[in-house]
Amino acid sequence: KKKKGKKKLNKLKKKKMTFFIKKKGKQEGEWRYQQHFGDIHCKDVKEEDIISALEFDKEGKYLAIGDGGGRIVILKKNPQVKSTEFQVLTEFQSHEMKFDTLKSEEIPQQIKQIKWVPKVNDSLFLLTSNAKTVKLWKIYRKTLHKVVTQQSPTTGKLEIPRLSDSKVIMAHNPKKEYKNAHEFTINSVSTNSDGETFLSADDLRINLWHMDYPDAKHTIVDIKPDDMKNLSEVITSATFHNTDCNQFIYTTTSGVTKLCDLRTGATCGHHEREFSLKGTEKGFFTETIAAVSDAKFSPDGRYILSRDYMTLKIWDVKMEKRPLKTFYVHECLRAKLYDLYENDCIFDKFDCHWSGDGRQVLTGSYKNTFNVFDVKGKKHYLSECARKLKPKKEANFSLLDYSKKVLRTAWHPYDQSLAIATVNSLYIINGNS
Amino acid sequence: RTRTEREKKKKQTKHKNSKMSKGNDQVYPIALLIDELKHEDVALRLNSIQKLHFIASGLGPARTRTELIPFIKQTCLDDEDEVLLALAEQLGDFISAVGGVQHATELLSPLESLCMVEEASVRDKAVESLNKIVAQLSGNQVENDFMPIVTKLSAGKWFTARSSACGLCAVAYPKVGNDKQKNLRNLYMTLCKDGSPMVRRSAAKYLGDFAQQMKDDVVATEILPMFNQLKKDNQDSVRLLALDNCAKLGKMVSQNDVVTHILPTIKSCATDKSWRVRYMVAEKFKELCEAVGPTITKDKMVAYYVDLCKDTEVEVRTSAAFHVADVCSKFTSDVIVNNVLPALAQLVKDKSEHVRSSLAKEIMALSAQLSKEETIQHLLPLFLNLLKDEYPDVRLNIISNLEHVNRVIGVERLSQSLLPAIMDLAEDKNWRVRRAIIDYIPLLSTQLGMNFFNDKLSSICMTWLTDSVYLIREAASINLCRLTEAFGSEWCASHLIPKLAELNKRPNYLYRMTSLSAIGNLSSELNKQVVESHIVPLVVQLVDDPVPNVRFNVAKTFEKIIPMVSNNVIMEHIKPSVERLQQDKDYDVIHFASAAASAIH
Repeated sequence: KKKKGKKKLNKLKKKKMTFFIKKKGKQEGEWRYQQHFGDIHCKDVKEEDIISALEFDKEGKYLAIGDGGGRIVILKKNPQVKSTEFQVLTEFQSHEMKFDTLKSEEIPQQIKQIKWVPKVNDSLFLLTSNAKTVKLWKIYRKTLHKVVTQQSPTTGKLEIPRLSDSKVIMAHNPKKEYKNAHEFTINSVSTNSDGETFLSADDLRINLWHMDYPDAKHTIVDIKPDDMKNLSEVITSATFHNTDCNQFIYTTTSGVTKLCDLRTGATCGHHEREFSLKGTEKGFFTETIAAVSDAKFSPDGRYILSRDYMTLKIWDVKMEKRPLKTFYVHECLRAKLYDLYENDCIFDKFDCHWSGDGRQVLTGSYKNTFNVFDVKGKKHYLSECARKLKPKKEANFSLLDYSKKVLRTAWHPYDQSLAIATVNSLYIINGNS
Repeated sequence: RTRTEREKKKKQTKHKNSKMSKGNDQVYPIALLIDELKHEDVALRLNSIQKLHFIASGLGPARTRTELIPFIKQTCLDDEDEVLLALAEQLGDFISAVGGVQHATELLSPLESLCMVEEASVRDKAVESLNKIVAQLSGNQVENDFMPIVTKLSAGKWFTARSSACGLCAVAYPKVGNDKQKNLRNLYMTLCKDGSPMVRRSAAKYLGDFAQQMKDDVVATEILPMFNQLKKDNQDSVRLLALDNCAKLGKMVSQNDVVTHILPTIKSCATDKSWRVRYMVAEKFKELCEAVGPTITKDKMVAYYVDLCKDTEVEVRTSAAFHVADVCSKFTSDVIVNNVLPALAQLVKDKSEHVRSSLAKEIMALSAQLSKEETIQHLLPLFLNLLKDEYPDVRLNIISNLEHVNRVIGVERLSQSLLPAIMDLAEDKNWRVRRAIIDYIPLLSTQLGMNFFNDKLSSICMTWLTDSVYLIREAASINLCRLTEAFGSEWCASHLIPKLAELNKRPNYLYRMTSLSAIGNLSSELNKQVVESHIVPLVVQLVDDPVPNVRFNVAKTFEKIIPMVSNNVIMEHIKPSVERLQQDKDYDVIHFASAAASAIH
């Protein structure tokens, strides 16, 4: 009963997210602070305010943010400012906390992933997902009409009602719901270049959906062993190729990135290629830190970027034995793995991104730090997110810094512009050019 | 929102309005519908849109044109999908409502807007409605009013408009002049090269229809390049649709063009890297054979089909197996024997049960295309193998299609293998399988003959009556009824009745109930004499049964058979029993006994 009451209270408390937009003048260095959203001084961060998903749309005009409270905030690029700057367009509740009566467990409302669907008209479409359900949302400008005249009942003459345009609002509408298909927790959603299908991946299976048919899904990958005792790996992410409609990759905790081809069979039991480094080093935590947390195709589709706990790797799609480049994100942690295991940080899933031109890559770290590497391996920029960026040579963390994780980042599809989520707030960092 | 809620709400509003408008009985329902066009409840808006005809009839054609259509254009086009879908459908049949064909162009503009919405089903419906309307327009109307719309849509900013444009070219084409026709063809070629796969898919989908509107020589020079453009698309989903066009275009172009354009496409699709494309080849194989004609079918297509049967992907083999009868109807019998049957022999041993099961479903029909000798020599071994399959569905599919073979060679040849298969299925631990085999027993029995049945099958039919699953017992009793229908009353009296009498003595009351239900079912099939001499005593036996459920079923059965027997039998046997049941302690028994008693009178 107490819990119920608490839930109700939480619902009442669901107040609007507050945003602060602050600007600052020019700064030295390669990158500069542009603006931030959210309270950066908040000491006691609530679970529901933690940013859990971040995604630019393909044209780079919008940025969607999802958080632990199941809310989606859409930011729109300000066309009046020359540099990449955003303003809030709309926000809405995408997922609510649900209770699975069969398994008797709570399904949290936390947004796992957001994907923009290519535009079909002036409205915006996006797929949002929590642990179990993917939803397709339509965000559009709606004209509210007001009926001015009504039928006059006495005359007996038919009247067409006259309307006045009263006001235009941003409306959001759940178009479709793709549900009851995932036994495990969904970790990623990815749209296909054919414009009509998308995939959703949970811990052990990957499903393929047609956007127009929410009732049917097709399981393309199933790594669930008959006996769960033999479980050796779990899927951590999956994504389609940018242009090739039949290729996709998925990553697992056993340190591999697998490239599959939808053409070979109705179910992709065999993978075409498997990118992994095997047997190079041995250690107590080797397997744990080898788990790949995210992988992305480069914009031209020829390379794959993968992120494991300690490093960022670039692979040539045609060469699976070893990566072209390995970038060390926070080597200083290698000595502290035991501490990180104790406080569970070793299981953090960092994401990774390519720049729009494919020449740089981005990933997060602890202490609100983000890393930008030059693909050729010449430059490494790392800095803490703040009003004034201070580039550093090497990362150095104290025990307190582990709670300030930068798990979610995004790179603008065209501009030299980064979106960095530091727990509950979002920084927009622009290139100095 | 549930329907009842909707209705309730409707009633409320009706009630409110009826107070106001006394004496306007005819106008008032229409007025209500008009008001609800902008109601905040979607269900009511949908209802109004669905009755748009009714509204238009109230307003008359002139006001419909000048007021209703502009109103719809202005305010109804940003509604929910279900409302838009209804609107798109309504507008397709709205020509008479706006006052005939000369005013039909008024409808084009709202439908044009509907061609651009994001929901595919609404766009498709709008395209369909536009096709309906444009088919009735005059050439002038099409050139002046419809062509600009097609042009505008095809140059639309979003793919929604452009993909709708693909579906509108065919209907306009025959109604416009030569230069406009050329425009349309150019426009279609641009759509085939569109950047969005959605548009290219739509172009591929409608290409066949578009080609059908043209003269054959134009098809060769103008449509084939479009076709060639689409067939090499890098998206599987576009290439898939090219196959449909192979089937349609093949019939339109010369044999030369078939060899140079259509056949290579079929070949490349049949060996495509994507299993989905190969699957579509298997699905459409019959149409493709029809398109390329018999000579090429024999020379080339047979080999493609055999390859599909050996495909690496289960889905492709399943589809190939499933269409075997259709496809072989296009092949000659020597080709079937020499080329197809060896491939099928492999499929019989396929490791996927889905392949074997769909093969089992269709392979029997092949016997119609072969001579008796060929069937016996080549097909029969395959049937026998499938009959021994470990997977029940495969065996069931063979048994359920026995009639095909019966026509050619008779079932006798199979009977030796059939029997073990039937026996096996009859005792399968899955009751659905048992149920399925029961349904085929009457058909099998007539094909195998009464003697075979009495010897081999009658005992299992009786076993089913004592099955542990109710549905099986019920099916078994219906089965007896159908057997009686086939073999006649005498047979029933001599073979079935004694066995039912045994059931009546079983200690488990459920068996006695089954016996009663079988008796009830049988009585309608039997002649009067058998009912009187055999059935009535059986029922009377159970009047004093200790279980009330049996007793009231006795009463029910009496009620059924009373109309079938002569008066003295009723007086002598049935009436005393019914009277005794009416004295029963159990209310249900008394109830049904009185029903039976009233049937006597």
